[in-house]
Amino acid sequence: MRTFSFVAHGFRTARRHPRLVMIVWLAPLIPALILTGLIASNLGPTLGRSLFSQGILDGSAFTVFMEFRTSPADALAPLMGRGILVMGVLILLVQIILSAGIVEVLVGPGPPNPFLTGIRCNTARFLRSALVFLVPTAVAAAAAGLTVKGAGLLAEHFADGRWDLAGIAAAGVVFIVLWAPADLAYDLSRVAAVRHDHTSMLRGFFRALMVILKKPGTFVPLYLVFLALPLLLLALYSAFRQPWTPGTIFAIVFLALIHQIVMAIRAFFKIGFWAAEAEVFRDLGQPPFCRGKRMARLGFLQPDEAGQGEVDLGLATADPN
Amino acid sequence: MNRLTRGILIFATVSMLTILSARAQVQLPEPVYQAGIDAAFDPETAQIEGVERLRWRNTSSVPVDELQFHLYLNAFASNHSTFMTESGGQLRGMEMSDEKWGWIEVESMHLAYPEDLAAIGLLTHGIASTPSAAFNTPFGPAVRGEPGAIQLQGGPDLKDVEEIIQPDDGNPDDRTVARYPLPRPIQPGEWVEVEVAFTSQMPEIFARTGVSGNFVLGGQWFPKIGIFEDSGDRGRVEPGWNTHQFHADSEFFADFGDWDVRLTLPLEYEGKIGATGQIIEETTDSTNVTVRFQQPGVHDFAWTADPDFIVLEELFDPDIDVPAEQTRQIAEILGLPDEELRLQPVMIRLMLQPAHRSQARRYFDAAKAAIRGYGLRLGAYPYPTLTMVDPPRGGQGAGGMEYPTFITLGTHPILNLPPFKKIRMPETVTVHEFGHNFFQGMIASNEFEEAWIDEGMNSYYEMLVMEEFYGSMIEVLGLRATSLEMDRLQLGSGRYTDPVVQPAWKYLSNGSYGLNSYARPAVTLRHMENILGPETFHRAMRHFFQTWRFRHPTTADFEQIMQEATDEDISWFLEQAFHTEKGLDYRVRTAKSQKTKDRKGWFWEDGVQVLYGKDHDHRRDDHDEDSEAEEEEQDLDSDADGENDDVEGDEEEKIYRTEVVIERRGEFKHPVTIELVFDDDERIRHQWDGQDKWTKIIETRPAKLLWAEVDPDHLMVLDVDPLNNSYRLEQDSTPANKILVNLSFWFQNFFDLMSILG
Repeated sequence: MRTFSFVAHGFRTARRHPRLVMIVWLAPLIPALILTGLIASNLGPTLGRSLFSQGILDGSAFTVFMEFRTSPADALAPLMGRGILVMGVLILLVQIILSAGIVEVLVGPGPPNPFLTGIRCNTARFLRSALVFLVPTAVAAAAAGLTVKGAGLLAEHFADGRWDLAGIAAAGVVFIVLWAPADLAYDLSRVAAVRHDHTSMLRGFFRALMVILKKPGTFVPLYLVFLALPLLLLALYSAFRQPWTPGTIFAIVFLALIHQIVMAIRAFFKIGFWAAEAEVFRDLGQPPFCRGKRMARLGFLQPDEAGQGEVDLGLATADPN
Repeated sequence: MNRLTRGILIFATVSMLTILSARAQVQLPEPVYQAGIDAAFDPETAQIEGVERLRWRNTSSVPVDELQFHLYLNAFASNHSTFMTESGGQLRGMEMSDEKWGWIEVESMHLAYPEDLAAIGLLTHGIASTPSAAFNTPFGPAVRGEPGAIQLQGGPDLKDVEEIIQPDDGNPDDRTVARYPLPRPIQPGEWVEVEVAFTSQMPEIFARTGVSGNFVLGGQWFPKIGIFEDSGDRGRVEPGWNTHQFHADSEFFADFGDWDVRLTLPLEYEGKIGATGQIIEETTDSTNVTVRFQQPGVHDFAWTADPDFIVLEELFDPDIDVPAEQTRQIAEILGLPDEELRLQPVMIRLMLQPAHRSQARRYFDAAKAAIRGYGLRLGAYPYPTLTMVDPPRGGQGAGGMEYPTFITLGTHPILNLPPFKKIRMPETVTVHEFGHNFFQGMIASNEFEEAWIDEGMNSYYEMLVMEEFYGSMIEVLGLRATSLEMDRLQLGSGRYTDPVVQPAWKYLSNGSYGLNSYARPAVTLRHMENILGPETFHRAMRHFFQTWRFRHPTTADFEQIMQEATDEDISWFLEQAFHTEKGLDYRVRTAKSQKTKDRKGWFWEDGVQVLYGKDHDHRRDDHDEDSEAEEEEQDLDSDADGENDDVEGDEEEKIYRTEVVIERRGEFKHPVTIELVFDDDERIRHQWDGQDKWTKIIETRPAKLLWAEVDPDHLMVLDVDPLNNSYRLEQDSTPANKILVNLSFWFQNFFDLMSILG
């Protein structure tokens, strides 16, 4: 039941920070609109003049779009391949920067203008943390890939394609099992770094990971909720969307609205999950995972905070300070 | 299932098939040869030891002084064979194993001439056109180790004079064609009997044959006699053997014969062996099972075995499985009475992988749709059986292939999952491979030299059947496409590198072979159907099929029949579509509709001279010079009661000058219809012969143009760019907006996913 209280707290916090939700909602929307706008400049005139494009309104969007891609008018190749990837990488960087501000707000109470202050003060350490997090992500992805490949070999050995399906399912489980603790550790270490103004992100990641692995009762249900809610949202959207073919401008506008409601809910979830993690962090006693070289913040140096809220992590490591 | 039960079942099946055969409406061809094979397969070594007895007749008008055989399995003997060199060791995404090569070796070949056969009483009728007329004893499979009806051991062993030849590319490492010079020529009409002992090493599944675990697919597994063509056959000038090497992008070519084959495998395969034709008997001993198959009137024999097979049977009963309405509709198009379209019962035998059990219904339904769809349009499938093989995971390289009365399919358990159930891969492959029993099975064209005749024609009919029965070929995650749409997408920009009619190994690439053998001719035939009309086209296709069934037609034969079907000369179309690389693309280059300037001066309208001026317009009748004419002169602004309406303040009639330029972007010249649609709902059509690079259409009317369209009836499916076929003066952004809204959402989701790492 504590899981639900953490999540409920998180959602209540998210409700109190609609601007954070909006920022998270806008973060993928803006580049998507940029990319779409660029595509529109090529796609729009051709489709707008052609009667053949009416097929899109009857459900043949795939065919029409592919006809466009094979026509001389098509100039989307650079956008559809590298363009998307480049945008994706940029979004990742932007998200890291935004997270720096979001966490500062959620950890609070902090400085005035916590969001911008957080971006200014936390971005560098969050970038380092992201580099740390890439490693377990790669490991989890590789493990999942090997699982699929291994299942494929079993499928060939047993001459049974159901092993492929089992392999895909198993790969998903392998990925989640390996990645979820790392994901939580990534978040908690960043919360801790901001809370205590510490900078040792690598150390923080591993300390957080140890705590997470020691408390499965707390973190497993929590992460299951983090997974289940977006999946439920996806299922609801799919059920709504599947049989419907919007064919008028009003229907298309309505569809666009539905899309943005879905994305806004996802943004709300994100803030809510961040806030839930922050609450878990508080519940743990706000351990200083990232304790290392302390960074003095101009105007916020509070030496009387030293030692407050520290928890014995049970790690027999020498304090470099 | 115990042996007694299995025996009863076989007896019942044979009885039923005999009855079915008796009801056969289609006469099977007279055989050029009779082939009896007795072979044993050893799963441990993946080798086949076999004896093939061939009664072969020289059907040409000249003596034949050698025999030529295909040794197809030698294509997989090394990485230097022509097949492996051309394919790079890959086919359909599968790679050849570096260790499990395949080969075939003729161990001995004994020949008996008619005089030898007559001396022992086997041949009594001299030169006879049918084996039953020529031979005293019925034909049967050779029995290894037992004296046969004749002793061929004393005759010359042609193995001693075997010569491996490479008639296509001279590659000395390619051993897929062998010639055997004869001690004396075989005279026209003579029968000879040849006994060939051979050993085949089955490769790991690759290019539609081989072994994967316990699964075996025996395709092109025996020494296969080539075709000796007479002068005039398929346009040939000099008689000779047509025996091509096995190329990466080619399939096969053989004569029609009668087959009687006995296969021996270990006991674990009991009840799990399938092949071309009908099971005649199945016997077992303590270690092995031997199954005998027979099938007259086919040009190939393939087989399969897997202890894991689930064997299901279902009867195609035309009284139940052919809707009367479908028969009526097709009969109407063909101009035939319904009774003439009657189909025959077919016993469908599905050899299914356990993992795909839930997809059995899909396979059966597709097979029945195909038997109906092809049969009603072209002619009844003439054989009593159809064996369908579902390869296992790991044996997919054997899937998607056709042999007479025996087809290999393919699916995956993932297609059971709800989001993917409407990816109609098992259906498409079933319909397509069954269809090859018509195109290549019965229309036995030369797949080496004119691959499009079987692949392209079959792809066209597959398209029809899929549309008729399923509507779409694929529906997944909101994406939907029909077979025609998928084929059209393959046309790309229309910049073809090769013509459709081309020897298979001479295409620029495997991609060009695929495009020009499958999608492009299929779309071309659809185009012809649209242009000629369904009745003319389908009647011509049925005529072509029924004329050339069980023969070896060429493209020229097809073109002749299509030309005879219509009063118009269509040679311009056939030449461009099949023999050139020309792509078809017409577009509306520009379209504008502008108000004309105020009219001033004299205009002649419907024979009446009218003066348009600054203040008023004035009509003058040119033919009346007297007072009557003067009376007829009237101010156009007068109304019926003679009152003179004040000009000032009245609106002038709006006249628009519409100018549309149509451009031919491709090299393919084709007459086109252009339709102009105006805002007064008027539609005006123009015909253009499409010869020049462009044409201009001008209309002056009191209505503004809404849009111009090339091919308004959407008949020209060969046009590679349908988007440029029309031009709206006022853009409609709704379709683009819908795509952009969806694209934007996809991008948002992707970026949101990326941001998880942040």
